[in-house]
Amino acid sequence: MAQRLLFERYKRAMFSVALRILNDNDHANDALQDAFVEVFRHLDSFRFQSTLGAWIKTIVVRQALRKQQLEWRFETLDEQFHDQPVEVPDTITGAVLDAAIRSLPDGARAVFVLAEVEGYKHHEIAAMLNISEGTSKSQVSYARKLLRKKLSEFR
Amino acid sequence: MNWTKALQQLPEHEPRPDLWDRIDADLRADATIDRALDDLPVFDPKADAWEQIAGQLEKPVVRALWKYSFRWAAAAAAVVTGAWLVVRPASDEKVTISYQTEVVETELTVASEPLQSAADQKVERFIDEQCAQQTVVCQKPEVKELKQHLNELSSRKEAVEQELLVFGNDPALVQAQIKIENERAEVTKELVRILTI
Repeated sequence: MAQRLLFERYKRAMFSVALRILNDNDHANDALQDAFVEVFRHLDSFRFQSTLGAWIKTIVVRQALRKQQLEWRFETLDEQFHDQPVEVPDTITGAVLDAAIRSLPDGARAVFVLAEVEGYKHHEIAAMLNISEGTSKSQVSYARKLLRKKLSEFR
Repeated sequence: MNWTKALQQLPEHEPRPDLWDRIDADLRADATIDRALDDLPVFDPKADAWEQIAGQLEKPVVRALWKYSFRWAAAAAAVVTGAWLVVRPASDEKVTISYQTEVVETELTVASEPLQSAADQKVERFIDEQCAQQTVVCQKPEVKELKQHLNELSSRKEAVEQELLVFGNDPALVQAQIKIENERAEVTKELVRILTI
């Protein structure tokens, strides 16, 4: 019963994290399921070094990253991009931004979500994705540039 | 003309005329994105998600022994251990530190973990003792910075060890653990070097 309550409390937030990382409903559901099974099997190892929510989120994130079958691909910025100044309407809503985030390339999306939405530090993201901190930072910058462009086309 | 003079006389160049407009547009766009980030929607998992989880939890857990031996073997491949020998001759105040970092290549047994913790504790104790005796040195910005970095690495090490309890054989976690251990060894070595100059 307590487990069910814990799941009900966190399921929406955790599913949203997994969905934003994976951009795939089925994979996100699988990640959530596997993550909560791990959470309940290892609840006794939770040592209160962080909040319970943060601990569960880390497990969900790791499960989501594992669901990505192929290696994460990290695109780099196209030089042409610098020549396109953009104006983003200030009426952009969370739902519009969410759609734009989900249209990002896999690697940039995962890093952006972890850094800017979930608040992980670059060294933590680097460890999770087995990339350098520099790559993590440049992917956030790349994602922002792509988002600016995508959102500037929104009317 | 000498090198320094030439460097001082390097010409300045004008950026493109619309650069500020571009920077301003980017800043405003980022502010809009940051506002919208607080308003991202949340989504519901499948309606039967709990039933699936409950079904999984009812199954008995079969834990393969290799999973754990793999973790220690992988960690052992590159965990760096440090050995510090402190010799304090009674005749004078000279302190000799022998520092050694060693890449362990053989498979570690479970006993290796406490051994490593004991080495860590010994070094921490040494640094604390040195700082108690050499307060001036320990107030140096580089020493403070190194100590802070070491504390941060220790916290990261604990966090990874926590996650390893859940994801025993996750290669990314094992790599992260090795990287942190290597970095800790380097920072510790530098601290010991400064404190014993």
